Amino acid sequence: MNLTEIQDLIKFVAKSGVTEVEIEKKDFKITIKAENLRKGRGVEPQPVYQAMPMAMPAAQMPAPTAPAPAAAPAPAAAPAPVAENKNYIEIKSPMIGTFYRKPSPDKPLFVEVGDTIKPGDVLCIIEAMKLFNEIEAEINGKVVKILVDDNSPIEYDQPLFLVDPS
Amino acid sequence: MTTNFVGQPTIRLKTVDSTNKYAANFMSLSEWSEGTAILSEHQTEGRGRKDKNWNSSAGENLLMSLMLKPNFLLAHEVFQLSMAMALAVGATVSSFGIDQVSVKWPNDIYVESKKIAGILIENQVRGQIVVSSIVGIGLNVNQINGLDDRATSFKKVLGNDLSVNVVFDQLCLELEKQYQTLRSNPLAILEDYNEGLYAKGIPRAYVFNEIQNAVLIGVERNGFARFSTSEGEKHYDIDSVRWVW
Repeated sequence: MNLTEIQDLIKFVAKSGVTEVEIEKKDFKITIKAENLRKGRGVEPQPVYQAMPMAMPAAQMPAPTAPAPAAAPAPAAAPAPVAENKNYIEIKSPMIGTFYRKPSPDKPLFVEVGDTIKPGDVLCIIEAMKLFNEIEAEINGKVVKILVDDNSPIEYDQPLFLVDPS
Repeated sequence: MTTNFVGQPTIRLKTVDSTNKYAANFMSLSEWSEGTAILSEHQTEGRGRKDKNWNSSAGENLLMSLMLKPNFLLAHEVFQLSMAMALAVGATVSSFGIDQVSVKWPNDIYVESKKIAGILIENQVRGQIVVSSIVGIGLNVNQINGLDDRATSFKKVLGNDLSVNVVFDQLCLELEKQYQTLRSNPLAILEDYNEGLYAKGIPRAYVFNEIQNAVLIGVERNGFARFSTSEGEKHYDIDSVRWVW
């Protein structure tokens, strides 16, 4: 571990809201304590702690068996209002699974039609065999159309998003 | 004996919402090397599959997340990672002298018919490639109180306390070993996984469309399981099968 990595770690610990961190590698051990950062105030909601109350049996991931009674979102189901354009790029599913547009039912959508995306942005989650796979964008562009309903089964290579790369 | 990369470094926390979330945050905010592990004494929001909370009291159990870069795996092959990690946890349990350890499809670790460990894997996929992976592991070590009827722990089986750190060191060794095998010889992972599969070859009740007796024959590379049923052999994914207890 070099100095930059250690600095990164300290920065991360400060941001993470955890009070005490011990980092151990073969030849050394560092303990970082951030007591003062967290004493009193409680003004800044610490991102890592912003959890839901424990009492809530939080369905963090939608149970795939639940048939989502809240009707499939219209945009994907409705016939495409956009003229098919040969320059659009299809983003296809790399695997069989269940398509989710949100990280969890109470969270906002990863992307909506009209959003600008860049490489690394998470577009959706595909759950397969109890593995949760975040599908990241590889290109810059604008989401023109979402081709699959939230919470529905998808096949390998099935087109998921239509993106305008221009 | 130490590992080359698994648990190098290990970030030790007293408490955290979930080690997987912490790892995800870590990945997005800082440079990290493959094998970095997050180990916490307590989790306030630990979750298992389908959001069952992984109940445990502070310091009793082993709660960790391992950060990997399995970019040698294609997204549609990623179930193999799940198999390798489950084998590593199972081997760790066995190495402390516990018998009858098996992996229940897809990735729970059982001692006889009780769960001792669970795994929750979150992957980041770009194109066809699995660029990074967070392997969350919850292993019951010294917990006795508050264990579910169908759960067990090292202490419950062995009758004595174990150091979580000692179990962790062993787990890191096994995780590294299985991960390296996954890289060099994934077929061996598939074979070993099927070798130690819970309820394999034993007639029992499952719910497919309706409750029926069937025999689990084996699990394929993509995670689908084969069952022998009264209507012949069937392939099912995990969401199409419920276990009857």
